This record gives sequence, structure tokens and C-alpha cells, in this order.
Amino acid sequence: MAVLVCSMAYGGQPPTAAPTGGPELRALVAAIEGYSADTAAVEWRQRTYLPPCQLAHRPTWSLLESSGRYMDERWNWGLDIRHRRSGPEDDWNVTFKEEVSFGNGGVRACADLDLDEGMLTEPTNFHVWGPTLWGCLGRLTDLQATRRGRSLPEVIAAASSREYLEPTASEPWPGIRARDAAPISAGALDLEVRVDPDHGFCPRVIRLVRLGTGQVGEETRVVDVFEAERGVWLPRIAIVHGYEALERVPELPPERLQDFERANSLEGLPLDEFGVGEALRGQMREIFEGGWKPGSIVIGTVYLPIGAGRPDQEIVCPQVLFIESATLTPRTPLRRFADRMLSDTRMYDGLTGVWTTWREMRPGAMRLLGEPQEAR
Amino acid sequence: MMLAMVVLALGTCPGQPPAPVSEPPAEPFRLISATPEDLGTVHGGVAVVRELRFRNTSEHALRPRISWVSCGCLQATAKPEAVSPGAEFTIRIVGTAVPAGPAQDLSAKYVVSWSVDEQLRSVEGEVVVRYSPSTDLVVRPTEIAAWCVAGEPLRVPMWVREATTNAMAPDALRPVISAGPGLWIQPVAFQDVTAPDGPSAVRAGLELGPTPPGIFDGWVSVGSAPEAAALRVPIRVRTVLPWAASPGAARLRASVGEPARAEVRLRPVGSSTELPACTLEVEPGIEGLSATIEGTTIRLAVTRLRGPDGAVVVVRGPDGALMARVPVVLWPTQRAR
Repeated sequence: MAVLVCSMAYGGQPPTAAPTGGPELRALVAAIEGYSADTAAVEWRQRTYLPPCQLAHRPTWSLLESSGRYMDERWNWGLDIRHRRSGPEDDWNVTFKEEVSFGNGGVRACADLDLDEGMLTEPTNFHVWGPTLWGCLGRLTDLQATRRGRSLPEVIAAASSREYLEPTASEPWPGIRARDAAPISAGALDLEVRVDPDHGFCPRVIRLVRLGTGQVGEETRVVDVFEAERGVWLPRIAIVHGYEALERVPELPPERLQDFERANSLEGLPLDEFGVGEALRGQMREIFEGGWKPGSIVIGTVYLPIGAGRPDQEIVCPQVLFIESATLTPRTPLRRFADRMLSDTRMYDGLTGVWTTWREMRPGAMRLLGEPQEAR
Repeated sequence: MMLAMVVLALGTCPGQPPAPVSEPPAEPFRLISATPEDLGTVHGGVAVVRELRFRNTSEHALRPRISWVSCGCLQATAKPEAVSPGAEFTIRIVGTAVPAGPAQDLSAKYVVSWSVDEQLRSVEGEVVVRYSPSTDLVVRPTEIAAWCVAGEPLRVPMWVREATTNAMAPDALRPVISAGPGLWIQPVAFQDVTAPDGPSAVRAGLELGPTPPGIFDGWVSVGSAPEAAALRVPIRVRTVLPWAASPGAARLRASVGEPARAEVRLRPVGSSTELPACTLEVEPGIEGLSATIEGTTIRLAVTRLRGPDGAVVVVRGPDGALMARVPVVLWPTQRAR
């Protein structure tokens, strides 16, 4: 006899209370909540680039992935991804498979299109890993429950305190610092978010800073935006940093320093294709160059982009995200991901433990995913 | 009591010092301590660790290393790399317990080598750690995120099946709800979804009671008996109000000292399609800011923008029920620094 015991707990102040604090803080809290409502569902195409790294045979910035994606506040999501790295070296073609997966907060259907095989099971975190437009909107700051992430207003509302951040010379946008906003297993993080009033309060900086040490853990810098709908601006180019702590300032070999220089040159990034002008290129260089300078935490401890400070490891940060297109009003997005899977695809039903085909599985699976009209 | 802590590949008895490959017993090292091999019942996600400590009893420098692990998820270490005569070394394996299934064995093989007259000698050993997952049931999903409209029912599907055999009939698996005080999950509906030739399985539809707006975190635990250690499935529920503003906020922008206006429309999010007559409250009140509603359109105006400020228009139905809330942003178009 199996027994289910259930408990629900109040998970932080819901964003339903009237904004508190000074007038500027109240204004930004309301603006971020409004922006979050405007971007509650997004379908987009993106490309992500990895920095140069001689150790990994990447002499220039290189394409990591190209994908079509969908995410919404109901925790529905879709991912159509090609693991296609554009490394010029022959020995560097890592994987070339194409995978489609989609689901909601409890169920995932996925298929490897090369193998014609897939499964219906529970979600993994794959669709929320790495730079995404959804992450640039501040919806993936819950490091303890990434794929069940809260929105920025939800995170800010649940923080132990909030303070207004004045614009600065290097970050000329107002912002909010939310204390202890992103709990993780090993401690807690402050959230700093700066939004752009002249572009519909689109997030420009999202930064997670470890309490106590001041170490930046993750940082998203949106360097270009576009108007997806009247008054609603979305990130178009973003630089996403992930940092790691080191015990001391590392002594790096010339090859590693050369990697940094190559990253600063921007070579390999599709800047002409995206019409990136000199001013914006200058901003991007500045952000990259700043990243290679070890950030000081406490005496004798520094932090650098992940991999950069360890000569025997691949440099994996920062990564640059380019948004090719996006819509805020997608129609039947999950069904389109479902259509990418061939009817004869062999499928394992991980919920009940049996093998079947996508043709047989699809009606029931789509009902689980909130598409009951698919029952046919 | 488990005595079989080290199984030597060369055929010596468990717990005995390993023998060299091609020499009469030289006993180059000796086991001096070991943590238990059988850890009993372990909850999913908990670290499973076994550590063996040896002393170099020979007059040679020993080099221990890991040669094989039973699972890629297993971390195995042999430290230090070089062990002087009389010094100690440690073989350690660390895994993570799976939440369900039959008894689990995790193992790693290690090789200890040394040189005698420039000839390399070695012995191989194996370290094993064993545990039983805390439940014999497989539950899917193991983590849930759900969305619902305030005041409307929410049903969350779950699947429970027996982990090892097909012998258990669905009736025996049929879970029974047991809610403690203050818990608000409604009775669970079950459906037999046992497939021909497949494992026995039941689908459990958790029906959650009405929830106030916001994010709520909780859990459901599943065990094979009331007293059995449970598998905890975290649940996050996002509950939204039945009507939402479009655009998402009323943004009043003008130069400081100038009047400003904005307009939003309310659209249904849940099953209701007609907005009843509603009242508006602005929280907190802002001098000169007014809000009116006509049909589904809310109009806001401020007589003179004084600087950045923010508020919320709270929309309530005839019975006082919360229908929507509209963020209000006042932000100067050109702001003095």
C-alpha cells in the first residue's frame, strides 16, 4: 500500500502586496512586474557562442548551439536544438545530433531525431542550461530549482530586503538589489537587476552576488535590445558570465593570455550579420576585458570566468547570446514541437514503463501537456 | 555484520591484506580501518560513502590508484599518490543514493603498485558499498511545477509503480491520502494505467484546493507503507489572478511637472469571460493620481508628474474578491541626474 502525504507551504511573499519602500523603488518594482507580465510567454530562435580557447582548439569565438525555443510562465517549454559547434579544427566536431523536447512542469516528451527514438518522462534541466532569452528576462535565477524558476517580481518580493540602485557611469540604468533573493544549497545570493526605462524597462543587467564574499556568481549583461511588440523590448545580444572562485591570482601561460586577447578581438561573432556598430563593439570589448581581471573577494581569494583561471581547463565563459527572432504571442507552440517528432519514432513511456510509438503516445501525451484537443 | 570489506582480485580472502602479483606473500600493506560496507536504508539524494585506510607495511614506496568504477556517477579516489614505508593511504568511494529500486552495490577497483629491483609489482583490490533505497516505488515526476488560476481547481498527475517486479497488483499499490492538520491537498483520484506486459502502475491525480495568488512551495511524499521512509516530491504552484492587464502595467511617462495618462485593458486568464462590475483601489495613494474603469478598460491619469513612483491598482469584484491587480509606473521621460 503506497501512502501519499502532502504539505504545501507559503513560499515567500507573493507579488500581490502594494509596493513598499521609497518612490523610486516602488516605481521599479511596479515596472518589473509589468514587464514580467508582458513577457509571460516567448517563442524565439537563438545562437550561443563560446569564447576562444586553444586548449579546446577554438582560435576564435565559436558557435555552441543554434535552437528554437519556447517558454512561458505556466512552465510549458519547448526546445529544438542542434548541437553544432563551428570549430574549424577537424578533431573538434563534438556532436551533431538534433534533438526535440518539450513539456511542462511535470512531464517531458523528447526524441533524438537522428536515432528516431525518444521517451515520455519527467523534465530535466537541459532546456534551462546556458544562455537563453528566458534567462535574460530574469526567470532563471532560482539556482536551487532552475527549471521551476520564479519571475523577477516573485524573487524580488520574496527577498529579505530591497534597495534602489542609482544609475552609474558603467551601468546607466536604475536598479534594485534584492537581498538573499536566490537561495542555494550552499548559501544565499543577492540579486541585482538594472532595467532600462527608455526601452520599456527591459532588464539590462542581472547579477547574482554571493552573500558575505561579494563574489559575482552569474551575470547577464544585455548589450542590445529590440522592440518585439509595441512598447515591449527584448534582449537581442547578451553576454552571460559565470564565475568561479580561485585560491589565488593564477599564473597563466602565454597561450591563455592569448585566448583573452582573441576574445577581446570579437573575431568569430556574427557582428556584421546582426548589424553591430563600432560603439556596441566597444561596449562588448569592455565587458570581456573586465571579465579577465580577477575580481577580488577577500584577501588571497579571487574569481574569474569559469575555466579561465585554470590553464588545464577549457574556458567556457563568457558566452554570447544572439536572438535571431522572437514573438510574445506564439500560437500552439507545443504542438509545433510535437510535429517535429515523426509518428514512427520509438518511444519509451517512462511514466508507466512501457515501449510504444509516438503515434500511439501522442494523444495522451498532449493531453498531459494541456493540449486536450489533440486527442484523436 | 559485514566483514567483506576488500575483495582481492588475486583470490585472497576478504579482509586479508592483498598479495603481490608474482611473489610469495609480501603483504606490502595492511587494512587498518574501514567504514561499513552495508549502509542499510538510505534516502534518495544522500551521499553514500565508503573509506578504507591502509598502512604501508613494506619497505617500498607504494602507488595506489583507482582502475575501475562500477558507475560513472561514482567518485573514487586513492590518496596520496605515493606512500612511503609506514605511511597510510586511503581508498574512498562516494556515490549518491537513488530514491527507489532494489538493493544497490557500488564498487571500485584499485591497484597498488611498487618496484622491487626495478621490477614493477602490483595487487588489485575492490571496495564495495551497499545500500537499500528508501522506497521500492518509482514515482514520476520527482519534481513538479504547476500553474493555476486563483479559485479554480488544479489537478496534477503523478505515477506510482513498483520498482523491481511486475508482481505487485495495482490494488496493492493504490495510494491512500493522509493529510495532516493545515494541509489542503484534496483527496486523490487514482486510475489503473497498467499496460499489458508492463510493470504495474497507477496514476495519481492530485487535486489541490483553491490557492491564493503567488508562489507556493510544498511537497508530496510517497511510501510503500505509512511508517515507511518517504520519497519527497517537491511541488511549486504559481497561482495567478483570474484577470490580467494588457499591457502588463500602466506606464505614465512625461517630463517632471507635466500631466500623464495611461490605459490598460483587462483580459481573462481563467475560465470566466465576463468581468463583473468592479471597484478600484490605488495602493499606496499617489497625489494627483486617479483611476477609473469602464467595461474592461482602466484609465489612469496624474495631474502633475513629480518624479518616479509606483503603485498598484487593485481590482475587486462585487463580493470583494480580488480580480486583478495592475502595476502603475510613474517615470519621468527625462530625469535629472
